[in-house]
Amino acid sequence: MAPDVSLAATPHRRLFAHFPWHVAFVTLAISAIGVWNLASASRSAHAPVWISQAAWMGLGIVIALSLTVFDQRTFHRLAWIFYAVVIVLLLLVYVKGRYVMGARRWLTIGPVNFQPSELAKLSVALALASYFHADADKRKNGYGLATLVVPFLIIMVPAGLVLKQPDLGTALIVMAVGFTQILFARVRWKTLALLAGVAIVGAGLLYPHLKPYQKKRVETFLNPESDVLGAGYHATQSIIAVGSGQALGKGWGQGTQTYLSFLPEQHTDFIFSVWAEEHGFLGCLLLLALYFVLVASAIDICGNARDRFGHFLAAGLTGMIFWHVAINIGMVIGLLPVVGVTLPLMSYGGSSVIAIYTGIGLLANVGMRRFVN
Amino acid sequence: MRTGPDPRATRWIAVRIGALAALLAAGFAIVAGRAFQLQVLRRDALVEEMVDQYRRQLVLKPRRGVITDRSGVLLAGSADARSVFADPVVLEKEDGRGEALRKVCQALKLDPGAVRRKLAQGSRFVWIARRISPSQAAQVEAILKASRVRGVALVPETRRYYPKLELASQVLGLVGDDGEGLEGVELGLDEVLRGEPAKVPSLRDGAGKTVLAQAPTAGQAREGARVELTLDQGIQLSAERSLGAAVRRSQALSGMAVAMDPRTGEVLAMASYPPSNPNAPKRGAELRNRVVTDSFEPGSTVKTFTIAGALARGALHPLDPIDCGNGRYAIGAHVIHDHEALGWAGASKILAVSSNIGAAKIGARLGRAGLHESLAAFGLGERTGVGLPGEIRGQLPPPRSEVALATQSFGHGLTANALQITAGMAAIANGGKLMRPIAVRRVVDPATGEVLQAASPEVVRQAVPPDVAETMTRFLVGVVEDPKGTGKRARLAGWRVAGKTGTARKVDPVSGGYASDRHFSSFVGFAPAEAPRVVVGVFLDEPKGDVHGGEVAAPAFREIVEDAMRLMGVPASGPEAERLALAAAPPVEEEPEGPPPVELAARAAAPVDGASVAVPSLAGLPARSAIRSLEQADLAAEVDGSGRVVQQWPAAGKVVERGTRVRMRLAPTG
Repeated sequence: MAPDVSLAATPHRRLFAHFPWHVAFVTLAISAIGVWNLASASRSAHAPVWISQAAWMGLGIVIALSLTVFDQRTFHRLAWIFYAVVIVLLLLVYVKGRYVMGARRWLTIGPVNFQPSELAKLSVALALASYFHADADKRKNGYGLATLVVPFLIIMVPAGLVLKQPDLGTALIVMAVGFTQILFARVRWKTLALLAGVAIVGAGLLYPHLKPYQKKRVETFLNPESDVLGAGYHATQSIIAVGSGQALGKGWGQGTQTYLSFLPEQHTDFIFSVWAEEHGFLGCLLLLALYFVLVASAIDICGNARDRFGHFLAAGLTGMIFWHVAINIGMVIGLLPVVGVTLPLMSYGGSSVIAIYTGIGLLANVGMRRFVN
Repeated sequence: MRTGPDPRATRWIAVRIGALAALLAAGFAIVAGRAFQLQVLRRDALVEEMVDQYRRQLVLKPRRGVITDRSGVLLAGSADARSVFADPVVLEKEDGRGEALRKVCQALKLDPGAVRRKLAQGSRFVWIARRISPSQAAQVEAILKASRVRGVALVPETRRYYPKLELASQVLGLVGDDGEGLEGVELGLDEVLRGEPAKVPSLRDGAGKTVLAQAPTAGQAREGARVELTLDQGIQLSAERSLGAAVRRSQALSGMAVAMDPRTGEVLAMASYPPSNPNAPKRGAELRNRVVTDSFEPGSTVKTFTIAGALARGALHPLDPIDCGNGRYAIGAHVIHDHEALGWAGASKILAVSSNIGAAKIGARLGRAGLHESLAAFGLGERTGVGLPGEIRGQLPPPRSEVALATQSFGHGLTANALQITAGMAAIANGGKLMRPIAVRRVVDPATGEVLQAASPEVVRQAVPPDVAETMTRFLVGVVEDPKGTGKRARLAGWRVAGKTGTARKVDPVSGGYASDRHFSSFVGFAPAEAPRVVVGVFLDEPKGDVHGGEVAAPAFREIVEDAMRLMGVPASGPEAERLALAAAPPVEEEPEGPPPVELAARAAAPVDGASVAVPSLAGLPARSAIRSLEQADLAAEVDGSGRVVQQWPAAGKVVERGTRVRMRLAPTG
């Protein structure tokens, strides 16, 4: 590893000339809003979670900044090791994970509890980038079904393990990350159409095998009023919270839906409803704009990546951020069924914060080297 | 780049980047649009939904006011009692095998199967038992604590109790499960008794728990007011006992008794028989306050009003002789009979022997309009306005024929309730002034002592001039004192009694005519005749044997009047006074069967200073006085025999705990 660091050290000045300040600014702005919003959301809770969230973010910033100094080849080389470690961790969760609310998602190592599933997203992004980097040259005529088997396996092994926990939301994100990357490989149009067909049919075939509570969520999404106090409760309360924020919001700390605990999971999956209730439509637009800038910057980095590894990695990370934001907010405002997906930098959770900051650090790394040869 | 610039790859990347950017833009646009829809377009509906689900008004029910008699003796009170309810959903989770529920049912002596059926009906809030005893509540609490069940819980409520048991139960009425008045004074004065609940704006959180937004202030809740009735518990007790004895003796279906103060119209006693126990109420005929709710053809008592009206209108002179036709008087095809043939007689004699023919002839002198006005002047055909629920007006149809004129003159062909007849008689006793009967003396705010409502005597009208009333009083004294008078048995040693008997044939519901074997017998009168202090009416429905009011109702009347005279401290006068003064004690009273209605368990709410008390000396006292002095010392009485107290256990002066039962043996004097 040492040679890489020394190699990277040479073009030091040029590197920092290309430091993506806008990404850093947007990231810090969302983080600050996130901590501020959590302070309001946890008023009625037992512990002020915003302090530990801020601490995790501090750690995240350190990780992201240190990731920018490594040469991409380091990641390229380490991608598979990282992938293997994550698979082992996921298997460990499967064997001796901690049960919380009926699911095994947590692993305790020393004093730290964390969710390896958060790392699974990053590991898929890195592994696929590495795979396509080396493999794409051999596929001048694009990818067909047979040549996509390996990328599929790379995605589905961790995704399957996460689904088994069960954590449908994170499994969906892992797949979304992987498929976003596959889209950037030159997949033949016919294959693409076939895959879409298989996905639709597969969803239909898979539906009867979902857990009853998951089915219920889909059903209530299709008709939320059918069970206002039961499965539709989250969705209904969330929509009430968002709508009652009106144009300008009730003001920080004034959200009654939050204060009176009508929203369960208000500081994790449903954090956006707290923001929407207290800061209204304008607050929503502000936050959406910040995410838009973040994701657009990520796409820009993806489009201008120096090599194929950076290109695919940025694509995966862009997908990761985008799908998190889209699925989470879509769920909160009643456009999507309720699935456990966090809102990056807003939802409380150390593993999630570290995963996002790691992803942004990798993006920055790719972005800083766009012109470096 | 490691790979040479491949135009295809570059284009490929541009296409994909463009697609991703488009997807991103579309995603954000959709999300922003949806936020706009919720936060701008649908905001009003969603704000309303939000407010609806968190805003709750917490209603703190105040304690229901007490009802007392005129001197403050508690007749109806409220005690704390707890109720048990269940949330079947929570219970199902905690108590899957039904262990705790079975124990709770066992403690409450309920059938677990029935309770389970109730729980299965789908409501999230199910009453298991209302107002259980403190010991049962403690048991249930212990069970719930031991089994850690939260799906069953206790809530404080208040329980209405009537410490005097059956006393005035039909006047008091009863309350429903949620403390709302259903009958009697409880219903009539529900608004003041209920008080004003404190309405505290509060918030409800997502778990359904109430978050108090602000503390309730004392000013918001008004405790239920204290209602003081005009009833005198002593006279009421006497009326109920004497009435009960009269009904049982005559095997009547039912009976009524009323006592009023003629000067003010205050109702001192109002009794209906059969009695009901308000502490274990059954809805039904027993609960009816018959005195105001039932009307009947009063019969001869109405002759009083006919003659008074005739005197007042100058249609009759007190000394006018009337031809009573020797017991037979034909009006068209109808023939009126007297039970005892009478020739020529004055009004006083007609009243004394209760001649129907005489009354009919006096009625004929009045004419149809005159009679109607005379009877209406005494309040027949109009509600008395006593303020008790369910009062019936009675029918006073204008007589359309000579026969109707004749029969109405002696109290048939019209109906009235017992209170109307008694109030009419009270007008004679009160110098001709008809007073509005009053049942509620005043309403007092228990917190401040402020009098919220106070009834003041109200003259309805001058029914007849004072001199006519005076004349009528003399006539009515004659009814009792004339050797041939129908009211002989109402005669009372020590106080001069005036009154009138009534024996009406009841209408046969089948034939529509009058039944020969079913009667309505009554006696209405007052005492002392010189300065009337009490008017008493006793009414018996379908007595058997000698059905005459003078035989079946007059004795009860006499007992009630005598007790009232003593309780009101009216000095005895007349020829008997001196003898009574020498005896220095009231004569022997007849004791009713069964123990006297002194209930100590229910008296817990009464202020008690000190736990023990010295037993009073009861020797030589009649039973009623003995019971009263025991009651004042918070002791229970057990009576054996009748007459005066000759022995008592424990002995006088012994210090015992309050509530101890004192047994006394009574023996007739002489």
